[in-house]
Amino acid sequence: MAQDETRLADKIDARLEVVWQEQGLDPVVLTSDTEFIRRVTLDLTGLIPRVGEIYEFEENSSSERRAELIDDLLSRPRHAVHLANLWRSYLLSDNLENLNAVQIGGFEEWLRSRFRDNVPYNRLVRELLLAEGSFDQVGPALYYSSLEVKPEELARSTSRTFLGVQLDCAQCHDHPFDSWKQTDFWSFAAFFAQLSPQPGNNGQMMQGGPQLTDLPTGEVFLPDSEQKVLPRYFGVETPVDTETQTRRAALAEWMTGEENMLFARATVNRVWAHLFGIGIVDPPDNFSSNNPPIDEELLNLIATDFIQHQYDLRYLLRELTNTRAYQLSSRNSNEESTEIAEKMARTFARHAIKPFTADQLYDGLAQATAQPILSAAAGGFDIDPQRTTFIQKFRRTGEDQIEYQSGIPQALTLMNGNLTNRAVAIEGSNLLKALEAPFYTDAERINTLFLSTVSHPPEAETATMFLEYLKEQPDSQSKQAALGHILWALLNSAEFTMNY
Amino acid sequence: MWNINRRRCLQTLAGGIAGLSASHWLQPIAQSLAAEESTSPKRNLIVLWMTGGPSQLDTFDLKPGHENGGEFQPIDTNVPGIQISEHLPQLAQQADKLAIIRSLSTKEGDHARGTYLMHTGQRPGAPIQYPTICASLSKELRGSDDTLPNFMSVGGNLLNFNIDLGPGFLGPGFAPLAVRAQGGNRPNNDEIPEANNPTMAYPSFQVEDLALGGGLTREQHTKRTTLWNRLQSDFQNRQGTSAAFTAHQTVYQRAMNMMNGPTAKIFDLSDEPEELRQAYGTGVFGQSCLLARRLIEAGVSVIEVPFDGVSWDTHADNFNQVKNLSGQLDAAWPTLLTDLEQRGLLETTTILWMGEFGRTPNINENTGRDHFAQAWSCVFAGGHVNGGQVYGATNDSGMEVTDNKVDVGDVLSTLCEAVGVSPHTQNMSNLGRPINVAEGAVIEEILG
Repeated sequence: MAQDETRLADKIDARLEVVWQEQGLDPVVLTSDTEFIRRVTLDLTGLIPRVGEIYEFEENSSSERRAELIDDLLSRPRHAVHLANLWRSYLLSDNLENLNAVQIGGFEEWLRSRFRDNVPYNRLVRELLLAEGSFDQVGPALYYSSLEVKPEELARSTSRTFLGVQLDCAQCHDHPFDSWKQTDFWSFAAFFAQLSPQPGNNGQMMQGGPQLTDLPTGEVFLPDSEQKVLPRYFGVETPVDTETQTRRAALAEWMTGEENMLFARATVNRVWAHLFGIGIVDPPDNFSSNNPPIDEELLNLIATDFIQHQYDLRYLLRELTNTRAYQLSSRNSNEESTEIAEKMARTFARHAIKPFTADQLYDGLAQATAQPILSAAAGGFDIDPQRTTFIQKFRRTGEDQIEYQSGIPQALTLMNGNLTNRAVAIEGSNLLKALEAPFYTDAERINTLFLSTVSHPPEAETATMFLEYLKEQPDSQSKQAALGHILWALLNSAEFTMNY
Repeated sequence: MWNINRRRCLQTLAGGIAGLSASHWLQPIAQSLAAEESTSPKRNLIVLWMTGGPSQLDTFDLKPGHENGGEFQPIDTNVPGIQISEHLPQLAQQADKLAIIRSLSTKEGDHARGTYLMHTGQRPGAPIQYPTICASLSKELRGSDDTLPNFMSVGGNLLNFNIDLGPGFLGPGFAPLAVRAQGGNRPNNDEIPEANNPTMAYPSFQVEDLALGGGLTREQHTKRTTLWNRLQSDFQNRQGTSAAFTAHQTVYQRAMNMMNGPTAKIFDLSDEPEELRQAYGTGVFGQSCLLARRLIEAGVSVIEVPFDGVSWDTHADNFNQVKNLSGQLDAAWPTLLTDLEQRGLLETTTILWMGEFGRTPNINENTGRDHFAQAWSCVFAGGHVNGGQVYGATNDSGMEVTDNKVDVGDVLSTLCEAVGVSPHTQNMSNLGRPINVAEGAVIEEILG
């Protein structure tokens, strides 16, 4: 087969083989099917698989069943909901205090519609950058209001989110380790200088629905000086001609154009990091001469292919999840040295273990115990106070997806809090209610509890132990409680709270 | 002096490591610093948070003879030349331990925004999720084998309303463990109970979600734990030992130890001598201060004690209310100082007294005082504080700072230094930018 007819997934695997060989590493084995369905369902829909889906997958005898599952997941409405949630978190940061639920809902709705239609990603970003109109009505303008339409905030966020370039240090001085100069920062900020409304001081200016529009005037200046800085693209000395188009239009065209490898590389790296837990460049939003990709060729081959496929995110997700690399086990070896273990993780020779985000944990708890999943089902940013309180308490920080960040307060809440209490009591758990049905054997009941939470049946010895525990119970009421205790143990287990 | 400067310098370098992963050469310095630090005693912090915004004119910056001064008279303290309110007579006898700042000037006059500002040093609304200073300092002051969370909030609640205030970009592991008071004598703006009524029942304290839920027996919980252990070891056997698994296991073990072990007794104050309990004041605030001392003894480094309710928000009937509130404060705070001192903990425990803002010098038609951030007071006490002084001043009307104006950043930076943490210690923010623990000038005069 000619080189350009090989599918991207195979090119990636071939390249990684070379990387592993150079490093003298042996990749671990493939995941089991039950591990795979849990991982890929979480990564592509944000939810753990339902029991019925696990059975269906097991019963599919096709040799292509993993690929078929991926296609199925990518076609679900829930996939668009999940991508919208992810991109909302990338684009709006977590600090939503000055935004209201309706605005965020509108923003998510806009994202969902774009992901549902699989709009080319460069077009999506162009729409976002060129957003106009009332902050109250349309979706993408919220990106601007969340950053208070401040040129310096917009510059920081835009370069970091879409180009993977952190200009932050250069705002106040030349970058200490990189080639970025202070003028580079401000010449990027200059693209956002001709916007209305102009930034105020009170953070409240977005209330009441002002319009986001371009202005013919507006400049940025170096801090504490009167030196005006004109808009320039990265690495280009001459200012951009903005006689014939607005500054934003010039920026959007350059950023999302096919010659701009920064954009494609940052995008595929972010998607990679979402799936693999670690970026090819890591942290995924910090491309820098100090922080080179683990393999330049790997990154470039994916980025080039992404451009050739018109920035098709669904295609990219399908190819990445179809790689052998994505489907490797996360099993650790206790005999390996720390150094080798780190190398294995860094070169994707072993899959990473990702503790759940706060959203995944809440939705997982609700789903595993068959309680209504308010936001997950509707897909919207919701104002359910119980969910909001939970998210605030468990919210992760930063780009690191590998670290377990919770502490004692969170563990206490998961063990003894109201949400868990309700979930493991017969009155509050549709799962436990369903298991009351007389046609279930105790073994089946235990099996279902495991499948609903950790997506696989118990180990044989554990099944025996749990079965004996049920048999010890003197009456149906205490057996009911015992099933609740098993569910409690499952919901509090490390396995439940991790995507591995 | 050389030592202090060297320490600060090294801490700055060490703090920078988070931001500069390439700087391997810094590591040996950081390690030598860690070794140096571990030999010095552990430092602690108690924030006495005056929910609602305490009146500076009726506590620490009285204006006798001016129409704004109101009903209260100043009294002498055990430090010549320093006077405070007549309703803080016990505290007046320990003024040698206090450094009173009368020149604090900030820019937020709303409860939620002021609460956020005074805890983070930042005005709300920025895309960066700033942590409360208590979370940042608890991170720096924690030990590697702490059995308890190193930051607890005891008693009342902050008035941060819809503004998220907590561990911010440090992550959920640095959130405070909330200890709630139930029952007991509570101040109330409508009806004023006697400050320290000895016949009142004491409040009891409950750690959020520490008690077994859903009517569970101890025995059932033990069974749950057995099942859970089984699942943990199955997962570990199958997946090997990962960093995430180890962290999960450790956090759960500690939480379970808290539920089962002797630490649960810390929250039951009934083994304290009756006389001491009475001395702290029988109300929620007094007993919370006593609990704070017990937590310091148990190894918790950072404790915030918010006055419960919107106590100090005295828009009406200011003088009766502040008199009552002062009574509670005057029982709890001086007792806390002597109690810590007798146990040898005062020199390692810094206390900061403040609220979200001060109150208007002019008295409104309801004999109340409204929100005022332009010129107000806060007080440092205890460990590494140069007590027995007043820093800064306001004019006769109390409307303007006339001397040594201090901003919130200066207060928080000074607090950092007092507990031995460089304010320039950096953490990576949610936007991938390293952020100093505090921004401002350390007020060297305050430090002892």
